[in-house]
Amino acid sequence: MSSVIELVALDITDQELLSSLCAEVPTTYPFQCRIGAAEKLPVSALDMHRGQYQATRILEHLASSDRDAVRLLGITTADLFTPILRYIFGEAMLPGKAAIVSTHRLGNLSRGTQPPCDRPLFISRVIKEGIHELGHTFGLTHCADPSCVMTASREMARIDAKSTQLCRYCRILLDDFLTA
Amino acid sequence: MNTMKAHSTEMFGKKIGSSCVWRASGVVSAQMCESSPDSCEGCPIYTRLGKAASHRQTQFFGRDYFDSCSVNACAVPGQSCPFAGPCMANWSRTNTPALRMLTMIGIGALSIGENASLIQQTTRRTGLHADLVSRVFQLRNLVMLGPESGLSPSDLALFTAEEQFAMVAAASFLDCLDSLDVAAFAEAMMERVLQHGNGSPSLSVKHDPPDLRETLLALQGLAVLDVLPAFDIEILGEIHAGMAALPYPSMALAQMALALQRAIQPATFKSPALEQRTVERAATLVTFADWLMGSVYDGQPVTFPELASAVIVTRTLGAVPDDGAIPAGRLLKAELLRMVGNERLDMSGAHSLLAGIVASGVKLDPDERTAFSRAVVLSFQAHFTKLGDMRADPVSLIAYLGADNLVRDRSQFAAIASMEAPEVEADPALLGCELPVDRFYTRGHTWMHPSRDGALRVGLDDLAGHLIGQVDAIEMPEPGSQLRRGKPALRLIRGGESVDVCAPMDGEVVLVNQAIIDAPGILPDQPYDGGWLLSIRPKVSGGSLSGLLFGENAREWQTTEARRLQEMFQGDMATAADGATLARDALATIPGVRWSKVLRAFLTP
Ligand SMILES: [Zn+2]
Ligand SMILES: [Zn+2]
Repeated sequence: MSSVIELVALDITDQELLSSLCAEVPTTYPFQCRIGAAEKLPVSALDMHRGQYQATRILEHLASSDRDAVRLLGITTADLFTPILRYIFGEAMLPGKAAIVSTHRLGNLSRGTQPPCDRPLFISRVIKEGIHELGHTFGLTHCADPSCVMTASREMARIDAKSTQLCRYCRILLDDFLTA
Repeated sequence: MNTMKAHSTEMFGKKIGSSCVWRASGVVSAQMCESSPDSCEGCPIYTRLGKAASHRQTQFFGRDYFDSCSVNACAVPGQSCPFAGPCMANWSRTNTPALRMLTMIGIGALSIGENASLIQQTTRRTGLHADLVSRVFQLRNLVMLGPESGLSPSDLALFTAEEQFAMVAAASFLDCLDSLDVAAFAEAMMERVLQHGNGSPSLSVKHDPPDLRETLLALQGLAVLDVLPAFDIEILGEIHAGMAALPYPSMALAQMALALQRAIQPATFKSPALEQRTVERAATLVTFADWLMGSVYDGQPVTFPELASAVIVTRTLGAVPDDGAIPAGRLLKAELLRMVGNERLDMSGAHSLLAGIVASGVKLDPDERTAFSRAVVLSFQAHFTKLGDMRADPVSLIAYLGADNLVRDRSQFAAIASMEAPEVEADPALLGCELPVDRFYTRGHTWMHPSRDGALRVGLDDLAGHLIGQVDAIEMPEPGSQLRRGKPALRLIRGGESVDVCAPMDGEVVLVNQAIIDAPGILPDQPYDGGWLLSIRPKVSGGSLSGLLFGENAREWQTTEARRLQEMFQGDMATAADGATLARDALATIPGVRWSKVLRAFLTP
């Protein structure tokens, strides 16, 4: 298997955002990162009633693709949900091949429900959530350290407060996962 | 392989000893480390607990601490945990719940009023705050449930007289004595008196000082409970007479005995039954305090606490003129202010100095009171920051409470007995649901909150509220009807389906909440206040409290419930969803879901 983490643009054209995230991934995970071919969100994931996409369906879709990568991280501007939850920022297989991040509620200037924020802040939020979801795919669960990127993200303040980095404990657990 | 060392360095946010917590605690000797200086591989504890343990250290003082304690010295044969204090995992099983309770009361009492922010800062920094607050509430609830607290007279016998007294005194400070199981405490304390008196209630000179102290403390506890008059007047007479013949080895014991005499015979208390020689000694000490301090008197060094006790004894007995204790009081005050200047008080000592000053008639001016209060807090902080040490002895805890009480408003202590739950933040682990720490929970998602009249208010928790949504109707039981724990108490009806809410405890329905019958929307909107269901008078029986959830246990259980709910709708794939907040009326968001079926899976205890 290729040892590359591939970013999959799902209905998103923001190249600057994608390459910022792509540049950041290898600083945390010992893999190359590349931006793969863009594609449309799977129609099967759309819930007409809620006007949101069901994240789990997107994960299934990504995981079953024949893209040659160790991990696939989908990025979309669409609003994501899972049943019973109002919305989510992202979801990942724990552990598994696929993860997805939505920029919808992260303060995108052009789209989304959060108040818009300046561009560098927006990009840093997407990076944090991307690194976070990839962490789940490598078996990491939520971390109690509020500065660790694996801290649970529910509200914006907590996302902004954390770093883009794994804390030392999570780093060790990542090592364990990768060498096991 | 240096992980254990690396992790341990930051155990408490700072380096401990030579960086390894095992070293710091003495579990691992320096020699052991030096045998493999560059790795922890040779360390038997590291080998034993492995890496999983090291990770969990991150949460040592965090919320998940109970489960994830990686010190786990308790799991290492022959080792006791160096941090047993902050570990509340075995709270209910230890033999010294009094110490824990008192610590909580002490912190709680000082956590209100002007010192609140200082204390809160400290406890937050050590990550203990949430737990402390929840424990204070637990204590309050246990105390208010009286006989239901699960403390039986035989349990009480496990405590030392000092602990028993401390519990009673603390309850008195908190103004919730009326809700203690007074009879149980009285029985346990009288037991102690009789035990030390070899079956006879009279005090005898055969007592050695520790026994005498135990006996006097037990009697004092009985006095605080105000149950002495309930005992046979002849027994009291014997005790009283016994006291008169005692040689008091210290002024502190004399002071204690005096307090007791006043309690036994409040109406006729005039002249001392204390041995004349003791009184004379006290008077000499007070009169010549200046000269005697720092010297040796009767072969014993004279100490400030000794002088303070002497002031109290002589002033209570009128053994010196009204202004006769002023010079001694000034000496005590100078010493107290010197201690305050150090900002590190020995609280037992400070408390007795303060009591002596008050008895002498010397006043502290407002600035001095403030300085003293501040020093109490600072020393309290220092005391509890040091490894979050909860193993403070009961005497110093009572001293904290008492000293504070002497300089400040007593109503602050009463306030804790009726304090409101602190604001809770919606909890990510609970899918954004709230779980106030001030009440009991059951596995049927009901909560119970005791009120001072002994009734229990019952409601549904926030998670259940999110699932229930807007019901069409609620079928309530009639007031006066009897509920059985775990059996249906009331029925929620929605869209032709229905689901039962089970009673959290045996008891009689006192009141139902008419407001939610009229407007069922209140139920999911205000699950913890306006949306309460009914009020019951619980039936007292053994084990009624077992299985109830509180504080950290409740949160842990609710976290698994939130996970269960999520998994129920997740399909086969294990995933982690981020940003998860439960939708209001969550079940209505999924087509084809049977409302009653899902709810039954959560509301059945
Ligand atoms: Zn971490
Ligand atoms: Zn996550």
